[in-house]
Amino acid sequence: MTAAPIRRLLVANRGEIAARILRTAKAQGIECAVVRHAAEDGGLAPQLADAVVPIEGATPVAAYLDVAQIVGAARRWGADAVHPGYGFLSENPALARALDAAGISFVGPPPEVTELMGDKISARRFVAERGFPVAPSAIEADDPGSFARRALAVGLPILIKPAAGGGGKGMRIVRSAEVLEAELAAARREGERYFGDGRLFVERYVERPRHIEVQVLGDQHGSVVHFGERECSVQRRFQKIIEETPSPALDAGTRARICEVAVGIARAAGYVGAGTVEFIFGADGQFYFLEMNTRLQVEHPVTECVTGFDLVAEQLRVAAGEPLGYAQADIGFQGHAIELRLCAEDPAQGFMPATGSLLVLREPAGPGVRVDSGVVEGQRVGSDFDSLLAKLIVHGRSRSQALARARQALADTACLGVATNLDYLDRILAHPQFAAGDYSTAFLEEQAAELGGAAETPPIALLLAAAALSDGHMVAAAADMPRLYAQMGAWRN
Amino acid sequence: MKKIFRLGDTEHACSLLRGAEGLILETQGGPLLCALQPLGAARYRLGAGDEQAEALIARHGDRIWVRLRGRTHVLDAVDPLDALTAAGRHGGDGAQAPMPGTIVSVLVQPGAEVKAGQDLVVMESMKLEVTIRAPHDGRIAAVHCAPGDQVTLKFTLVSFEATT
Amino acid sequence: MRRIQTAIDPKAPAFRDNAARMQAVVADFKALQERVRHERPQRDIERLRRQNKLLVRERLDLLLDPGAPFLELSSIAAYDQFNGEAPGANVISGIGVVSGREVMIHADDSSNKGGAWYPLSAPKIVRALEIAIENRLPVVHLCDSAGGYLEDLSGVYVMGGRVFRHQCILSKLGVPQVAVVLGHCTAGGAYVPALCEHTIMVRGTGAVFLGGPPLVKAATGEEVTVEALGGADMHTTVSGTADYAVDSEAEGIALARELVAGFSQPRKHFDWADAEAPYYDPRELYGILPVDYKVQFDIREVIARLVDGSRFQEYQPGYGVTLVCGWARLWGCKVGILGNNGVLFSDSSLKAAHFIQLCNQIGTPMIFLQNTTGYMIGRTYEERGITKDGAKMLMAQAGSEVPKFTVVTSGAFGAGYYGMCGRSWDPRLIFSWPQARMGVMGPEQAGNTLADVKLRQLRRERPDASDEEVAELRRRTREKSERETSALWFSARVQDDGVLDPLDTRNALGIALSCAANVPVAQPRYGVYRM
Repeated sequence: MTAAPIRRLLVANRGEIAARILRTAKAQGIECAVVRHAAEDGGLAPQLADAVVPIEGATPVAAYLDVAQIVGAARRWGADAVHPGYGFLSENPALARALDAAGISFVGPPPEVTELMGDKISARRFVAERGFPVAPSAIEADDPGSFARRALAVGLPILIKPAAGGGGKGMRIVRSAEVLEAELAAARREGERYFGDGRLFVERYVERPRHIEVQVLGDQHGSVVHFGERECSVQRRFQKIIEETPSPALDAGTRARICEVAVGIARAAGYVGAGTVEFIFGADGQFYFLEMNTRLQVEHPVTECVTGFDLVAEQLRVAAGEPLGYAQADIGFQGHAIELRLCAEDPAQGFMPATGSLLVLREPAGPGVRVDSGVVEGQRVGSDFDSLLAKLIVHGRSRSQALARARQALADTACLGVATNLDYLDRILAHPQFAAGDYSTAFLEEQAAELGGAAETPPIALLLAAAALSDGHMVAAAADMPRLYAQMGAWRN
Repeated sequence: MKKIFRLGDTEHACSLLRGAEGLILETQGGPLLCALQPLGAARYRLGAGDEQAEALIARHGDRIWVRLRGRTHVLDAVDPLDALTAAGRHGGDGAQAPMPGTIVSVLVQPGAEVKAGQDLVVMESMKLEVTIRAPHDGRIAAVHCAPGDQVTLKFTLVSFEATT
Repeated sequence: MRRIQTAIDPKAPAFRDNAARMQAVVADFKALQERVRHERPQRDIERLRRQNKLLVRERLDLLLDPGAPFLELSSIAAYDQFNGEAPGANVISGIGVVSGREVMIHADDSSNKGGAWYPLSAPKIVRALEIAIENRLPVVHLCDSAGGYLEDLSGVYVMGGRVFRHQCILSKLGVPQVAVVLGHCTAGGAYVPALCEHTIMVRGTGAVFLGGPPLVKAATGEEVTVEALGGADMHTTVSGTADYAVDSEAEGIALARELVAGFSQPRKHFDWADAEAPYYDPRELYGILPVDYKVQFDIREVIARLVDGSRFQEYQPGYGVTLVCGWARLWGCKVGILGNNGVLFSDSSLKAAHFIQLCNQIGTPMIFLQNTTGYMIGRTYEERGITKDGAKMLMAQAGSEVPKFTVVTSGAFGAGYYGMCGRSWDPRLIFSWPQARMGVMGPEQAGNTLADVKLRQLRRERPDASDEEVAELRRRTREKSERETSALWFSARVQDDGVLDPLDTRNALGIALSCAANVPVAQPRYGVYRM
């Protein structure tokens, strides 16, 4: 916690979020640096930064996860603050503590809050104890011997989650008691593999749920406000793909209640900075606390579009000790925003991460169109990091206008050289269920066949012509045919 | 010149010819008068038969990327001679990477006799270790990767000797 | 250049009747050609399929560029000989386009008698190689022949050797050859791939050796398999007789295409402009050409349906009018045309000699359209020197260096066939139309002359020969001379480069000109003209 203005900011992240943070920080006259591992093709962020600070590690990912490296980089370059972005060390209290020890500000909540919310079990206990809604659940650590029985008592179907989890890794749905033991064992193994922590808990699985979250912001002086909700139910294996705000599922009353609950939880936790409270929203209109993300979310731009706030700027102000300076009533909401995540993954290969060089990259533009990109044309995309390349965000007066702009933005986008989900995104937008706003987190799975594009017939003649005519050897060989024979054609006597 | 273009699971054998009015693409569906006019920055005006469209086209090696009418298409060019050579061989193929990733270890050396299903290479992708196994019995002709190498999808990790 | 004004009326009943008759002749020829090309014993086709071999025309389809022309030569060679065992002389030859390059193709047809070389096979291959030499055409050999025709080895022997001689000459001239060995190349046949710059062999079916396993066993007692003695792997890894071993015919032919793609494109000579289709419909040729060679027609009407835009710059239109001379463009190439409009007189002969020299002066290739019963005979004409004027025509031709092409459009008799660049006078290519007749004399004169000789002989031997016997002898001799003066007879004996549908002639000549344009024209040098 500091109360000094930030003059030199180190962005301890990469890709689109590093570029996003750099744009705001630079606009505020802050000198900026970004870290980079020697083995990676850094893309846009190193081009935007005033300085690039090298970090080392056996693998590029290891370097970004190395607290000592990041703190060392910040000291070497003389940063007075570090923005962790999302992922990597953003929710690791060790970084905040180490930076604090080095006299460097951490753009994020205090480590105690991160610690509280980072453990799912302690988080939901904290929330439940303060009277906020949580799904019926059973926690292994309470009494490991009776865990299976208590799990069943929650009432099928149930969702098994690793206590230390996040990002959907290691989650399993159980619909029948027979498979419970096997699924618990598998989830435990996965938890150990991904998080080094095999502890589990289960909670009631809400069928065809929606995933709705609320953006909150607190200052160092006790003020907490919300910036409305985001609908993130378009998910594939718990990975969000399309987000929008406002949620088509909420009426005004529910919206007010869910936002109020979110602010209440943040306030109770002594939250500082930007954070997100995630909820499961059932078809019956009930919602339950899911988890709190103590960082900036990937999908924060939709909130920025409808509120007009720059959340990164707000994070930096809060980190510098400034009071919010506005009340909840000062935050207005205008229109509708949709975010589409453009990822280097191949829908034709089971969404396998794709690699290659970005031979051609075209980003959309136009009224209400924003692109948060982390890549540049010519860049090599490897398999070391998350597959997110860029986010296309559109804003319109209404949902239908936003949707139309989103489809046009996709049409104006091109990414050649690396397989992406670009066309898949368009098929989602074109789906009548999405257009109607009538979808749950099961939507992509339920409509997998149609969204796979099997019904689309490629324009083969044009494609073959493109392939042949762009082949210099083929064209040269064709031109080699004497003109006389070209004119005579396939004549035979 | 004849080429085979692979689009999804389908192979299209094509010949590009010079005709009286321009270039003609002989396809299995018949001849198509075609044209490609560069508009700069990878953009092209494309024509094939009576169809016209604007397209973005990029090539890398034998792979052709085409962005056309709001969809991205990938074609792979195969020299017919390569296709014929491959078709004529018994064995002589290899084990390929099922996904992009990093090689963790290589378990065989050139010249080794392996049995179908025997472990050849361990690679890591998406935090998962994947073991690549021999698709059939045979003798290793060459190993094309080493620990730490980044490999792409379908990269041939190990090739087998032909057993004609 | 002005357009020829036609005088024909395509709607006139006589014209239409004639067209129907001519079309019937052409249809008969095409039916014959179809049989020669495709009629094969079922068991031979089954044998090839069993051996995993393609039919020779399937091989050609793989070899040739799609969308490009192929001019087959001497397509009906040997059709009426050897009991029909060697249709096309068991060989296909022709000029085609492979990987954008004009090449001569020699492909053995093993669908009959294993592709054995009959006495007309070697002359057909030799002629193809001669054309390749004259026009600097790379050659692709698709080798698949059982060897020499055992019943008449002496008939194959001398000409067979000339195949190899021509291959060496081509190599010496820097014109590359590719062989794809798709069957056995035994004894002399082994030299065809061995003498090529590039040789591809198909594993399993291709073999090259001077003596096959049975011969080796008979000669030395050694027992050896075909593969070990001369298979693809042995020759490409041990002997070095061949360069590439492939696993299938398709792969071998694709590799041949790749090799040909590496050959340099020749620079084209002559005067070329944008091509233009004839203004008059070439199909009208059917109505213009009489089925009976004795019926006259204006050769300008034929020229008008062959040349670009039907345009013709006629030379000396008022002199020596039985020979029409002038310039035109054909598929864009400027050519000099000499076409008969009747018997050759002194003035028409002198006009020809002069025109030939003009074409040589400016390096313009010449096309001869033959339709003549020869040089005029009789006291008046001899006194005017018809023989020495005809001799001038021949001398001018001998001194000529520009390429010459000949089409026998109707009748071509006596020395007229020579003066108008018959086969003996080195045309780069010579074609006949299916109703055409040629010979020392017309069929009637030839028949009558022969009959008279035979009758004298008959009367000497059997003075009591009946009138019926005499009539029968006359009938037989007339039939014989009818048959043996026909274009089909000549073509079957490789005395020309093929019979053509008149409608195919423009394209055939276009290909011929394009090939000839590969070679620069030398300066002419003439002998002594008898003045």
